Amino acid sequence: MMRHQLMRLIQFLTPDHREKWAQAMCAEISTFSTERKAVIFALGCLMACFRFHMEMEISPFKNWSRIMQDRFTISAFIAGVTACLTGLAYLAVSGAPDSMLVINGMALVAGILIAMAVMVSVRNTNGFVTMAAVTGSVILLGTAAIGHAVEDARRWVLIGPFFIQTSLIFLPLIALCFARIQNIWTTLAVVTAGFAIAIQPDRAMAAMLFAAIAVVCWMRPGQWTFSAAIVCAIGLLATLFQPDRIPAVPFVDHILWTAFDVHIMAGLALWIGCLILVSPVFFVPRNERSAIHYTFTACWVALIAVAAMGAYPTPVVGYGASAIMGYFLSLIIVRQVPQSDSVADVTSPGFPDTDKGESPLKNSSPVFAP
Amino acid sequence: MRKARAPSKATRSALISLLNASEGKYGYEIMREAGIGPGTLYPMLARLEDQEILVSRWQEASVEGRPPRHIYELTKTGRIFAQSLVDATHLAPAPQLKPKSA
Repeated sequence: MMRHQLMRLIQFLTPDHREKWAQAMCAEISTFSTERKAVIFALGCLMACFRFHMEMEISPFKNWSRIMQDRFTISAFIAGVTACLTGLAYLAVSGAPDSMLVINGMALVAGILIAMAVMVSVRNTNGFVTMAAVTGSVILLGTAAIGHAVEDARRWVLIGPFFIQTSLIFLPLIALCFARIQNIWTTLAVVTAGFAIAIQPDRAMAAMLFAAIAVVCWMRPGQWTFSAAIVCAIGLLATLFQPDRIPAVPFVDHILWTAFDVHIMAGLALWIGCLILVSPVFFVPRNERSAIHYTFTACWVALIAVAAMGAYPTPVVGYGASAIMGYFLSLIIVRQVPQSDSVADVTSPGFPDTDKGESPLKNSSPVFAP
Repeated sequence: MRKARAPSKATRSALISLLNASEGKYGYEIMREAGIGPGTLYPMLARLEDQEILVSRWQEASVEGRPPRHIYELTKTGRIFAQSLVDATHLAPAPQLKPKSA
């Protein structure tokens, strides 16, 4: 019945610190005699779930220090928007086609909206992070197998008129998932992604993945990180031994140098935009920086470095929707995880729970009326 | 207890509705009497419980096969607070702002 689906959705969407209220809502829904009334009530309860999330964002329990701990996500968001706007300004003054500006602008809006929607509706549990990594790696492998090829390089998925470079969207996400959780599944995701990038082949993305995983390996040495770093190094070497015949694309590749041909200010603006893109880590006190912060920085530093060295896409500041979306989607994994979410799908509350009575539904599935 | 803001119309209605119930009320009952939707009701009840104005408990269902329901009642502080709202606004207890059919 539809009410049961909605009840499951309510329990899934309610934040951990209000779990008791999800059970209260479900218990109330199950008492309705007619399906129609139950569904209408359940739809209203979904709004309550959203409000619980909003309350979590502005809760007085979330003290100043916690807000300051989220400063990386906030500064990364501002940095991404600033860099993207810098890129749009460069495209405008350098005479790029209007469609490029429109696509970059749309990617900025879409990236922000998708990231915010996921942040609000999904808890950053270990299960979610692992699933994101595995899904991303499967998409990369699928792209390498059946994606759109240009000059023997199979890196793109054609969605309507748009060429989407999936590695720019999912590789930072996978690297950050691995920085957050090192287990067999995230390691397999990194290995699969490394293999996919090697057979695409894509030197820039292979370098990015290796740089990011090397940072994780350095900061969290262990069997999983070491294995992943070795595979990524082999993947990078494999891409170096394969020819890369794709010519530089105007407004995409080499722009960190060619922008100076337009105007010295255009060139400087792009470099400043790139520096802003990698600056969020400096807004976090040194003793609070984690592997995730350094991995995020390593991803984008590596991409900018290879873009400066060869004919590879310049992330965010150049033309390309994939990098823009990848940047904002990676913030989903970067954001601060409440203590209750960092432990795999357990029900320990992250906020003071004022309910002194034990819920009879806490550890068992509710029994619903027929 | 944290310093509370002036209660909204919905909160006032819900509190006054609870004031008359000596043994507490279910969420749906409060919702009907206060004329609010579940999207407003549950966050409001959660907030009121945080502020120790009301308490909630589980009550076994009278009908066999149905799950326990959450029941809400005012604390001593909550009763004083709700009574002060009645006195201040001269509202009749349990007003039905937007009556809904069951």
